[in-house]
Amino acid sequence: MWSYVLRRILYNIPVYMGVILFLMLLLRLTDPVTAYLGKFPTYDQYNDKRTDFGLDKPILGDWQLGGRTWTAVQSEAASVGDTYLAKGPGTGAAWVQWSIDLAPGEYTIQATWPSVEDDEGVPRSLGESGLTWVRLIEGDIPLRTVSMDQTRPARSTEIDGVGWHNIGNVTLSRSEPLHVRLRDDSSAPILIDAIRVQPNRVRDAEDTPAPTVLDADASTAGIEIVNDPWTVGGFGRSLWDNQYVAALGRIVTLNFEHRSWSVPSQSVGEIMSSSIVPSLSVTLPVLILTTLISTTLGLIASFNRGKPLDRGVMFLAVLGMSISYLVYVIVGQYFGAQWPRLAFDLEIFSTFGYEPVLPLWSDVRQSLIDGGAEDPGWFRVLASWFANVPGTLASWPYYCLLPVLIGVIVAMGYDTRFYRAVMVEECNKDYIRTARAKGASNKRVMFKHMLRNALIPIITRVMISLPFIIMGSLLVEIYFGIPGMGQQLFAAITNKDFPVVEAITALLAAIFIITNILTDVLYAVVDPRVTLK
Amino acid sequence: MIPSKYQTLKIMFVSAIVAIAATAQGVLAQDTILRLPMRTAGPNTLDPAQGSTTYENMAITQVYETLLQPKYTNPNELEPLLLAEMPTNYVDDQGRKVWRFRLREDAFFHDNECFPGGEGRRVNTDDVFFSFKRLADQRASNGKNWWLLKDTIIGFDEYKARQDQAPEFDYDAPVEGMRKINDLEFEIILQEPVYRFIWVLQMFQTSIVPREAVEYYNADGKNLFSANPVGTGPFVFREWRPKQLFVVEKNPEYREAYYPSEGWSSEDTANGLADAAGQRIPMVDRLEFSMYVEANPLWLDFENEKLGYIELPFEFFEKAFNPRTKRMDRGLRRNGVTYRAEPQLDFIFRSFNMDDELVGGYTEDKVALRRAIALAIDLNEINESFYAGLCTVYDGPIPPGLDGHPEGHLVDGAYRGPNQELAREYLAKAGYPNGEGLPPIRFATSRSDLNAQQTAMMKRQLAEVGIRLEETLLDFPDLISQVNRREVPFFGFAWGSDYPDAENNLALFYSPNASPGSNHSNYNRPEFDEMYERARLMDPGPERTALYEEMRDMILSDVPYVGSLARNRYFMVNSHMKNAKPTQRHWGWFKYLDTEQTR
Repeated sequence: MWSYVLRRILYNIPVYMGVILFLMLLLRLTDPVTAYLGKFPTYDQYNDKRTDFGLDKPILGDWQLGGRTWTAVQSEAASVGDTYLAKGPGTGAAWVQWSIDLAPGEYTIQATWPSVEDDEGVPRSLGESGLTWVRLIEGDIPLRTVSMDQTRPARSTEIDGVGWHNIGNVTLSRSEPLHVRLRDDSSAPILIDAIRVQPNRVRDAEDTPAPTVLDADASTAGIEIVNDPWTVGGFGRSLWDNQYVAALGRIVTLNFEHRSWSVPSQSVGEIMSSSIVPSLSVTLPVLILTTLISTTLGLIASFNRGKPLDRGVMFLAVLGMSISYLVYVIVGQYFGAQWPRLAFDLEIFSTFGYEPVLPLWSDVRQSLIDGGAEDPGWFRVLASWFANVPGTLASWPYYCLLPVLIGVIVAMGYDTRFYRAVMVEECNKDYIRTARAKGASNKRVMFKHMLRNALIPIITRVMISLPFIIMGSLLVEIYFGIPGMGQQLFAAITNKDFPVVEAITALLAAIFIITNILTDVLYAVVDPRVTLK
Repeated sequence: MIPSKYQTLKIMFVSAIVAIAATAQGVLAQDTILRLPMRTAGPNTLDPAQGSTTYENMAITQVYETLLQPKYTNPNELEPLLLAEMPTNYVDDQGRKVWRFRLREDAFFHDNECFPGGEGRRVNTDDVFFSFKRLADQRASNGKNWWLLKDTIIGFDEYKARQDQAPEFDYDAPVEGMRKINDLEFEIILQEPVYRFIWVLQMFQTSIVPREAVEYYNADGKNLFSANPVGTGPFVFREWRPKQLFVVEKNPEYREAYYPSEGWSSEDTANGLADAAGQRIPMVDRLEFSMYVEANPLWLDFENEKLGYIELPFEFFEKAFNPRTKRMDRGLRRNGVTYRAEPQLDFIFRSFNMDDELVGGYTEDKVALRRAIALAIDLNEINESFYAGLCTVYDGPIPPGLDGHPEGHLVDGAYRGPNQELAREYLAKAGYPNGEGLPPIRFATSRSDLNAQQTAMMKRQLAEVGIRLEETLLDFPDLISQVNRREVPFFGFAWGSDYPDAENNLALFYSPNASPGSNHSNYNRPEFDEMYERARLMDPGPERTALYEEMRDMILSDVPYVGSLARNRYFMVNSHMKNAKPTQRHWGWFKYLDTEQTR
């Protein structure tokens, strides 16, 4: 038995690793940082978030051969000269820099990159990915770092048929050369055709000097093209120093200490652990109650197949299935909580709100410390925790019973129909006839013989709903104000809170795999015909 | 020591008793509680330097205080909060505008473990400078709120540039424009002598925070200050369950402060708002904010008097009010529910491009054409059809409630429709009798169902006098960029005031702000520019208001836009919440509320 369980676990590890990889790629289809910060972050904001979660590292090693080298592309799309420089995705230490001697004064720096016209004659950038960063440096002092959105064509101004993007204005005061450095830290593919320096006001000059255009070409004076040789065409440290390995490491060591992006005072682990209990306090009772009631109803209906009792149960089941969940929630909220209150001044259920149904460990510990204990050991905290359970559990019916009842009514329709179908199948089997022939009572046939044999589909159905009970029900949570996982995931997605979304999806995948293993084992336990091989 | 079996049992028994007693009693029976709603998931941070949303404002303002606050009696005026008196200003020998401040002596931070001995200390000048500098610190504020103080104080931008390059942000480095006189007095020197700086000092992002708390809670790279606010405010932070609940309790050591006894309008006095005059604030013992994502439970909880007030969700308008008579529902009236409609500082308008060959220009025929268009458009019909009549239609660019807004929302001689007869007259003056010879005018607005329907209605209204409209619906970024390039002759736009001063709206017609700046109509009158430059440096008063009115009437006569509309917010108040004058303009008014509700 144990070797079977171990084998199932080992077999599922590569499956889980694959799932995690797929999830990671899916979540990174667009740049998570620009999704969170918008298209116009400052360099510091961008860099903070990116390095914070290791998003600056390659996802799974550098498969992109030559991703960090600059290549000159000869193309008609180049509007200055006949070539432009291109670099594939992947971050490293590659950059390209133009240096130019300028007199003190105020200058506008512009850049252009290739674009083509699409079928409708609308210009479209050849750059496909998000932000590229340009650092402007005077001598050795960085003036500013600005973003360029290369998904759009460069067209702040048009000069002699070339569209230019305004990078920004600089004021030079030290008679030192200006460096315009195109950096490689956004993992985006980068394109650059030319840089233009337009003097606005030059000190000690009679006339404003003519603008300078610097082509992106290795032969341009003052250009410096730096590739990142460490990873060119190879894997280097990226084989282990990458996001995938880091994500697996976090899961294996159960490290959820990363700060949430939208609520920085909370860690991902705190968010998840604080919302699992609220979710379970609604979904778990729903699952247990529905399964008990539905199997019983299914048994009774199948036993009385074709009779009015069966018809009646099925009519109710179909009725329950055909009405939207939302209707049940709104109607239930009104007639369950609001109406008794308005009509009879009876406070049975809360319409909205939640109090913890289990004491919080940190609260219990704190109250012991406040009570004079210096450093209560875990045993003492545990004892006090248990002592507190009846008190907190007392709030459960007020806040959670109504959503549970609504959940049961909704789920019952589906489940009863399903279980009835299962039982009807069993009814026709030989062993039932044998049991009857032996003189077993109806009750004994139903609950001893039939139920036992119908357990496999019941287990399957219960097990596949396990992941959902942990994820909670978004609708119920939002309408009843229960701070569960569903609401957390929903809020994380709307806030683009990347660390939380990634952690919850990874957790969900793990729960699926675990329930899968559990189902296999349970089959063998309840049904001797299934052998553990 | 491991407790013996007996001891463990004893502990369990005692804690069970304590637990049962605690739940039975709940909050002390005589404590008054107000429950208040927050729509959406509520605040993400309780650190003023990181805050930006209205819910962060709502939470932070209960615990922290700013130097100034809008008056409860009239939110368009300011009064000192942490200051002992309103700041004074003078021009120094270098011609720079210097603001002089004096802090109150009785403002103390809440008791907190971050202070030595756990006792809150007095607020001083260093706290003010520290709190301002945090807005410049990328790590403290995420750079979110720097725009508030950028290009304002002398030497502050240079200070930020220097600190950005430094490995460690140095809060002790001096800033030229922040001059400490003593622990309670200081001066701030501005780059430009603009009055609007004063409005920044009432924004919650500039709340005064103690350095001890920031260093204590953010030690070891944690970001826990954003969940452990330590302020000077009327309420002390008690509990925050993100996305669920935010609780504050009355600050027992709050300085002597009283409910305002002067300045109430006759309408407010009739509503009983002046009754509590002279009482000590804060009054309520405990405020509980719950976060509601959906409108339905919000409404139910308001209806059963759990919540003190709500901002009426649009989908419940017809339940609360008769859509025709605009009278409140009888059941609600019977329960003592009251409501308050608050005009927003909105300026919804349809602007002309004054550089356009057809509709732009300042010659008599061009002006006549624009007047004809304005007279043909019926904004009241748009208001009734699309906003259930909830908007205020007014003349001029200055929203209701501000200096320079016309009385009764009407200006004599404004070209407000519908007046088809006069519209035809002006159309003839423009050289297009009955619209003959007038090419279709291109009108662009951002793409939405509502805008498409409104444009269709406008098109019909204009067609009645013979003006043809050719509508284009654009995605908002495209609309903006086309408007910035001055390619659209006529377009729909809206502006929400950044602060309650007409200067903010009049800047929309100041020619140096022309596209791609905020003057999207590209209105260009040197006389107007001169008046604007003068008004910008003036302190509020009748003289400035007269100037605003002159500028407003000048715009109304030239008709660079057709307008204006302002939306209203509807607040519903339950009878148990007393002294309520709900507003969204600021959130410092909870300290004036009272209730008898204890559970």
